[in-house]
Amino acid sequence: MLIDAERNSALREGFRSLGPRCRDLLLMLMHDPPIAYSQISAELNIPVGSIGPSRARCLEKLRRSPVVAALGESSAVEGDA
Amino acid sequence: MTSEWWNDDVTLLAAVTRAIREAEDVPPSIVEAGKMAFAWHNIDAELAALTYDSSRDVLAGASTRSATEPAELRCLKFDASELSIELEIIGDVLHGQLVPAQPGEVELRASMGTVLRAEVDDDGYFSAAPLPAGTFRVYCRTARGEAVRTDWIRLGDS
Repeated sequence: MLIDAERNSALREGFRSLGPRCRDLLLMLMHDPPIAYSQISAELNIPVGSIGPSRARCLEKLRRSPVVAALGESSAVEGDA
Repeated sequence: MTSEWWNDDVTLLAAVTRAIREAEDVPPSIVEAGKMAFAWHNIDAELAALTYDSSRDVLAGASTRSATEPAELRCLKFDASELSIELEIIGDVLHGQLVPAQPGEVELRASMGTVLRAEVDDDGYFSAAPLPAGTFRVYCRTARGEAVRTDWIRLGDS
């Protein structure tokens, strides 16, 4: 579907615009099979407890990247969280 | 409602994951595929040094590879501090062994952007085929969490 292709392309562009630490974290969270939080913690040298908040921050950055923000606006999203 | 996927962290992450997977599936000629999803490999993956290459033995005259050998065989060994990766290339099939034996996963990443993935079984064995053309390197992540990459491997007319 064309819409999906556009969305995916925008998401990739937004993803690339993130800093390396966010990209690394999200890639590890995306990994199939899943990577244990303990392993992510060891690889990225961050406490297990900060993985969740970091994920939220990185995804928020992704939402605010211009290409992805445009997607959100076009689907009538509510204001900044 | 269309915005749900965008507002929710779980669905947004899933959407990005799909987007990246999709890009990984496209042919290597599409430049984007080569740019994506490499990052975890670069997280401090230790570089394993080449410590043995059978093709160098041949060059040094230590052995003579017979022209009648049915398929070209090449053996390589890469050593990292805690892990060795032994590779045997027969034709376009790669057989590998982790030493000490342990499970994990490997990815072959070719300079052209193609990716082959393989599971490493509990005995430390893995195989992958067909090997990509040109140069490639092997990334390995053990179940214990060690990450190692080999130097570039060039096949063919050596």
